[in-house]
Amino acid sequence: MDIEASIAANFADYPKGTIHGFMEDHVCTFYLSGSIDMRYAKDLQKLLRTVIDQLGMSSTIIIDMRYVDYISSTGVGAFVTSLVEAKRRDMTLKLRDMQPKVSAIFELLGFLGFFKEAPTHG
Amino acid sequence: MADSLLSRSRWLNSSSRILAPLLMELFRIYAEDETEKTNIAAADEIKKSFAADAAAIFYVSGKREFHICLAGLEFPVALAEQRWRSSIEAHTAEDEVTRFGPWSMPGIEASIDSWISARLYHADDEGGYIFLGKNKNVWPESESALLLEIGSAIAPIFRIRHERGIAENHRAETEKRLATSEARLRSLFDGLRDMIYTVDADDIITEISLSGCALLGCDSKQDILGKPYDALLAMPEGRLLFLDKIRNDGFVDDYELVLKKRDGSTIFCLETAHARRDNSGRIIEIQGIVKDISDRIRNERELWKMNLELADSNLKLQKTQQLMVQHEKMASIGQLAAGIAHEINNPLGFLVSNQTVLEKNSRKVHEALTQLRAKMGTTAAEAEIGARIDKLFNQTFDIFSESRDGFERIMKIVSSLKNFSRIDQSADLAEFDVNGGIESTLVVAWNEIKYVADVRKKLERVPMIRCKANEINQVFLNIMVNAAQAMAGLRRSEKGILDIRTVQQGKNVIIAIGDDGPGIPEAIQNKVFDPFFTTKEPGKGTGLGLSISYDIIVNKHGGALWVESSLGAGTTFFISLPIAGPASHPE
Repeated sequence: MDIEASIAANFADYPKGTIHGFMEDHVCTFYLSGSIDMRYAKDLQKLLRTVIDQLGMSSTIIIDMRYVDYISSTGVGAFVTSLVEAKRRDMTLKLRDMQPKVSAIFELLGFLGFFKEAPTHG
Repeated sequence: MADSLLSRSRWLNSSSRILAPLLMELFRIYAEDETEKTNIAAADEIKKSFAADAAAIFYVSGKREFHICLAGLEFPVALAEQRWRSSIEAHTAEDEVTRFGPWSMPGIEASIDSWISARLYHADDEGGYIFLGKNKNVWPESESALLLEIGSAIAPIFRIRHERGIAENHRAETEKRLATSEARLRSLFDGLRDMIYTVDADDIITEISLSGCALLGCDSKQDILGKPYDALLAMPEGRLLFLDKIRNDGFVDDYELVLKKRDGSTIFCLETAHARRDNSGRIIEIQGIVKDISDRIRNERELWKMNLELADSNLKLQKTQQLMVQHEKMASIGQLAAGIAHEINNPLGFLVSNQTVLEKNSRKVHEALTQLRAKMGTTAAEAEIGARIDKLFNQTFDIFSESRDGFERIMKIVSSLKNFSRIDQSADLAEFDVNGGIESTLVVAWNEIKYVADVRKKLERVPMIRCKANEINQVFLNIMVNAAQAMAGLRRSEKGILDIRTVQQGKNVIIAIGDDGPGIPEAIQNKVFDPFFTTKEPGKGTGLGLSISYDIIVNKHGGALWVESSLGAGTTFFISLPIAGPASHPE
């Protein structure tokens, strides 16, 4: 599947570099940056839904969060909803390298434990 | 002309006698007191100076109230506008003295014969007027002119007072409106359920609504005022991002933040704020509204959790179903093999029997022919025929011997298949020969093993154990086939070793099945029994074999199954089964 095309379709109005991704060995990796506010969350959820629909069963999606400096509850909701969709297809959705202030929001909402944490990258 | 000048001169003399002291007195009165009572004092003074029977000053106050100040009264009399206008409009004229009478003034019951009036000032259709009344005598011209002079002299005072009154009234009304507006804003500020706050350029809280105090669990604004805003936040570092946004854009819409209440609990909020800047563009204040969205978040969170749990349950259900299908498939394959073995067994029986009879009969025919040849001649031709017959019979006996070997091997395989699946046993626990099970399983798995490994067995005498034999054989088969596949994966020139041992340890029989394959990395050794865990290529392994084996040994038989492995040295699976069988029957 063409990850960059999916990103372009959902994130055309965002500054360049807000999100990019690639596919390698049944693993789809996304790099996010900036603030995942309500608008970003909505577009991210659409993107992940597209990717999950197109990926094969038992694939893995890794989301690198190191450059995300803010997340709203709607952002957490986008990840949770995507995780539900992934589980329905026996896929794995992992988050990686969250900043403490971002993981604190997941923790406060009680969802940190639901996400498998991918090993730190680079 | 001379008469006129004389008359004018006399008038000036007489009028100056009245005019100067009266004006002096009037100026004093108006200078000493700025209240409306001064108009009564002025009317009194004018009445006295003109020796009038009545004097009154009509005027409109700054509050647009219509008054009449009568000489001799203590307070101005308020008149209805209509009555005020009807009193003056018919009895005054612009820039001249009006004479009329008899007339009864509002506030004076009695009618007075003769009146003169003059306008003091005029603004729009309102103004100030002075009326003088006298009984019996008519007002002389000289006094009319004097009244006009006095009116002109004090008109500026009236006009200024009137304008100032209007200005004061306007200011009072403005102040009243401001007070009303401020009260309304204060009510809005403190009455809204959302928190409203302001901070200065250093992000120090300068004002907060009462609802904000309540939201934060504080009793008083003083608990909050003067503190930095980030002291209210569960994650203070998030404020920097907020301030950056407001510096860049001048506002922030729907920014989510987590406030920390006084008792330490947290509340999810949504904030909208904007910056006030001075003329140089520097931020001097930030004004914000913070809405508590904890209830919404709580509801959403419950919904998300429910969806997650539902997805987990569905996934678990799907995997359990796959596990059951695989379990059933393995059992079915065993049953199928046993069924085929059973079907082969019957024709094999009479084939073996026929072969035995055929061989026996052939040997008898050979004996008979040998005896017949001995009674017949011994010519060279007969000897040659006899030798050919012997050769044919010997070949036939060799074929019989080979066939017997073949039949024995088939019988062994059939017997092993039957033993492996134990189709002859009921589903209940039964006595089982572990070593026999291993031998049977080796026959079944032989095709997987024979090209990649030699089998080394050390099977000690162990007691029969109570178990479900077909299930235990399935476990042996899983482990042996896994070992063979692991060794095959190394693609080495020499065969590996499949090492199988049995031993009794106390009340248990231990079975160890080891290989000298690549070994299992330590990081995943604890995962090999997890359902669906596999290191094989997609499509070559379900990841269920060892999971099902674990279920059979541990859950169904009360035994233990574990693995010991080191990279490059190989892997050994250990099975421990209680000789007496599981403590309680699982079914």
